[in-house]
Amino acid sequence: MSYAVRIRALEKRYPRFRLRVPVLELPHGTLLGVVGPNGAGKSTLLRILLGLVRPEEGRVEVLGHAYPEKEADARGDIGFLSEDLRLYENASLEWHEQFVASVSPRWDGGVAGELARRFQLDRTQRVGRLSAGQRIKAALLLALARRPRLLVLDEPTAALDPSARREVLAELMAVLLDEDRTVVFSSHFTQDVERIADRVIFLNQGDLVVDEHVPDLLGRWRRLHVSVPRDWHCPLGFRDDTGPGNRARTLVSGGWSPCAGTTLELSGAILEQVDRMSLEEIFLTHALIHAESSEEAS
Amino acid sequence: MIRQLLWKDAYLYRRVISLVLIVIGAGLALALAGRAMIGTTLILDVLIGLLFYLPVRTIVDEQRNRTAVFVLTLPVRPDEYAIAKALGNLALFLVPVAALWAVAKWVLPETAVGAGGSVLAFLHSGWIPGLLASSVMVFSAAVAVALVTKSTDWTVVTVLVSLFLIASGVFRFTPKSEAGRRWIEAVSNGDPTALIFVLTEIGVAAGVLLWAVRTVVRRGQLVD
Repeated sequence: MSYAVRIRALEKRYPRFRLRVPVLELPHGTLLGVVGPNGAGKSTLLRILLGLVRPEEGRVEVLGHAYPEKEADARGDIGFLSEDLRLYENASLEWHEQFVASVSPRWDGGVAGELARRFQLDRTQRVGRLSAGQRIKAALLLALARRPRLLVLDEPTAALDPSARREVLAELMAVLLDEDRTVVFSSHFTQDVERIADRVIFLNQGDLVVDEHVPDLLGRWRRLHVSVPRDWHCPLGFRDDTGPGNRARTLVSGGWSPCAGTTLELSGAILEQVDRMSLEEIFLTHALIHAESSEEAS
Repeated sequence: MIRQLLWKDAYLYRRVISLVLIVIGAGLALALAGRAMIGTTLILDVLIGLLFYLPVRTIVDEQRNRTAVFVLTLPVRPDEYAIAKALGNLALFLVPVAALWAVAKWVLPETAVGAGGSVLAFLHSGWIPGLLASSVMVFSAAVAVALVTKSTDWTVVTVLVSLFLIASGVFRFTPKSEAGRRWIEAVSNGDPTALIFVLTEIGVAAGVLLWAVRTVVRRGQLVD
């Protein structure tokens, strides 16, 4: 199988932070969502993919280019959009297009024109006069018209108000559905990731905690509302965050199946209701578990 | 790639470049029209202003404004980015340097400078190449520090400290001083000392810039 991204034993150290990714392999065409709280290492990981940040340990290979030797070659095939990427305010979008075209071998003027129409962007207007949403769209146009084989999106909608965010996201989804390319998308809006990604990784305090396909992850996590007898003990495989003494409990299971329901009933609990969990709820639970295990380890 | 990056900066800083060219042109015109003092002061103002302004505006601000992220996510190598920045900055800085040299060489009469002459005594033709090479050295240090540290504070401190060190040396060698007279005499007699001095300064300037490019490449972390 050929991979768009291959990472092995990666470690990036800062004075008060360390990112560790033992293995991450993305086949071509993957839509990967990267989620995690602020400071989890999402942006660092994405910048490593771009060759903007160099790790102390490990091997990184992007689109067949080994880092750090071939970083610039890889960037020729990577489109990047980030909340902190800024275009030159005193230049027009048209000028930006000319500049990017002059340094990008795969630039497609037709795609740029089509996206400008779709995004309703005035290419002659100075970037400084565009709204925040239009600037993101302009940056997205510049990234996509390079026809990148890998698109890296680092919290692209984080700085937008809700309506602009929805609009940009809708455009983004329409564009992503158009083509077959690998996309790595980070966001702390987990509902965005849930809509776009087919695979997700969760970073917490620099550790890769989860790496799984979204349907599998959503399929195995459940919130269970149960009634329990006095002196009931929660069986293994379930997490009970309800205070002791309560007869009505809310449990969480990361390995849900009909068998798990039977196990619960054999313990004496009566299953009242089973709810699917959102990605956000799953990751909050993961963060809690990770924090507890870190505490125990220390 | 370096050429494209240079054109990019030439477009983005077109107003600054135009302003520099207009002011330098006005300074030269004034000097040629017999107002050498005002004309030369104008050019000197531009030179000193650019020492601080250019590295901060074109290098540090690109990092602070996050426009460097846009450029560095394109297929640009770190050495290409650093070399383009160094060359572009030097090209613009050499405009006032060349103008001052031209004024000293062709406009100001020898009698207007030197002992008992004009306030602009340091523009003596035997003396100006060393002074201008010193300014290029200071400027190169500022560009190098801006590239490596991406910090306004460190860049400004570098310019101030370098200027102080050079001025301390320069004031001991004014044309009015004994050391200065000996220097000018040596230059007039075709002594190679002056040439070696100037070449050494140019060499230091080039060395500092090369160090900055190598540091940027070795570090590999182009954006904080």
